[in-house]
Amino acid sequence: MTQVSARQAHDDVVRGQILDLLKQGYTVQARLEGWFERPDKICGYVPDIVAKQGSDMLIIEVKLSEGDWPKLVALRRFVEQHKGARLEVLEPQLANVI
Amino acid sequence: MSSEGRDRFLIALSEFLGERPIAADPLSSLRISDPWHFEELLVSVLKNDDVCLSYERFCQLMLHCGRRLPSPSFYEYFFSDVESVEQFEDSVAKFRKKAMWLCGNFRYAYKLLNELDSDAFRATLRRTEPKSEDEFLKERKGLESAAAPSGSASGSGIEPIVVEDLHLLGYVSGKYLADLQFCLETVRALREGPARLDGLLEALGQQNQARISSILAELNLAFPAQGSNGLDEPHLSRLVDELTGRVQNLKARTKAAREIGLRNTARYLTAPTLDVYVATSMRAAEDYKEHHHFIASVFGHKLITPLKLTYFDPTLSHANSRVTKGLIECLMLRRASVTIYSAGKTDTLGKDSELAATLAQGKPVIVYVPPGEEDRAKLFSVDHPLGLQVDARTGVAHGVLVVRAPDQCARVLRKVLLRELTFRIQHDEEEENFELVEEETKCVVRVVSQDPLLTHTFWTFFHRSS
Repeated sequence: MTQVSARQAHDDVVRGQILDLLKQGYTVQARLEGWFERPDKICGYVPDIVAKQGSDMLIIEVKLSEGDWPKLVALRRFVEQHKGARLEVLEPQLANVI
Repeated sequence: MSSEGRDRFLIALSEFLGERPIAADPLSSLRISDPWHFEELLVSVLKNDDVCLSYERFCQLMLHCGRRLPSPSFYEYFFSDVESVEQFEDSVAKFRKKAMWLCGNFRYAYKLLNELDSDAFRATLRRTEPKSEDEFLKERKGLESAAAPSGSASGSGIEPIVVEDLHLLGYVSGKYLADLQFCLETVRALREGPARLDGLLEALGQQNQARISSILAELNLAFPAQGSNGLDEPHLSRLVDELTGRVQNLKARTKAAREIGLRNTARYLTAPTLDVYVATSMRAAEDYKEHHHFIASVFGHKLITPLKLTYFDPTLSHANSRVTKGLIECLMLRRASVTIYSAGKTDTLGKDSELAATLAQGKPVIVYVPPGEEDRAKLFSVDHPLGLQVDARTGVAHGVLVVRAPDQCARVLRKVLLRELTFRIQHDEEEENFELVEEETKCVVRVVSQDPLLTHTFWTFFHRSS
């Protein structure tokens, strides 16, 4: 109850990743309210970031908790079945949480 | 006795039995005995200007009107001191107010109260009688455990938060911090790659660039809404420095405020007693300040501080998710005896639900509408569809008490807790309802429908369903 939000740490990582991807020339869809178009659902789940450049499709998921595993399983299954799709799973540094 | 006195007695008797008296013959719809037989009884009850009641005579009156016999406790409580028509009328009014308050139905109240043994009868009626401050404190003491932190919010271990930072507990301020961080990270990325500045702005999109421009303009920091004019390295460095300072400051204050808010929430969850829940919806920083000021005014009022209340102050509580927050507030609502609904300028689903949930639990709701919001006050006291809600346990329709100033809120809160509210009964000719009106706020707090089909089906199916 008294731990501050892991959501903030999660969002910090998402923001950083978005800018890195933009710098690399990717077109970005992201769950960053008010800024980017929200990614479409993949196997019933909305990833944190979907970045595209030509035929390259990069899905980035920042782990929020251990309870994320069904989403990660679904995203892994998707990239296995789609050529050109990649998945990166990142873990936020909780030390930086506000 | 004069015919006027006799008529007044019969009208009051008819009202006691839950009927609207008919002018020519007030008891015509109730009396089951022949007129001469009833007259014989009346002669013994009404002598000169006196009303000569006894338990036996009152039993006979009930028999003639087809009602069950009253219990001695009932007669003793309501009618044993009656010696005049005025006193009889007062006693009938007293019964009707208590019947509306407890049961929302005159006939059912008569039946219920006369089925109770004397101890249960006294306990039930005690729920309608004022209690002293000492009694209130004694009862509360009984509810608290030995280690109970009692008293006002500060006395129960609730930590204060700097008023200027209260809004940092909220979703909107969290969103603002996130936006500011995105602006900072974007500006930093632009500074780090000046050769690709135009490319990055293009990838960012015009809409996002305009948004950054607008957010920074509020801080008097220049950033073009389109193009890259002025975004040279020295300016970008200045922006990074300025934004870094602001983000760090805001992050630190938000962290501190939220940590206190989380600790306070844990304390509220384990508080041994909770008297009052305050329902608000806060978005802007001003909302937090206004509500905090209102809550401080009410609970710091000289009429309230002696009651040593524990209350849930939403301006000092934080939860990490909307689900957690919702569950916590449901529990607070369940535990509190009274809800104060701070109306603000707009209704919200959350706040309205809290109002309805409190009434559905049969608990009082005090609605605070700030001065100048006359239409809002009328909405709550007259027009609001949630203004009357049925107690899910008893079926009694409960209304809200609308107050217009913190001072009045404190006064009415004290009256609610010490059961000092006073009432009058009025008849709504248009809607065919009896209404129990609280005298200070002029609000309808209970209703009894005069529609016989509605009344019969309501009570038949309400209790069957439950």
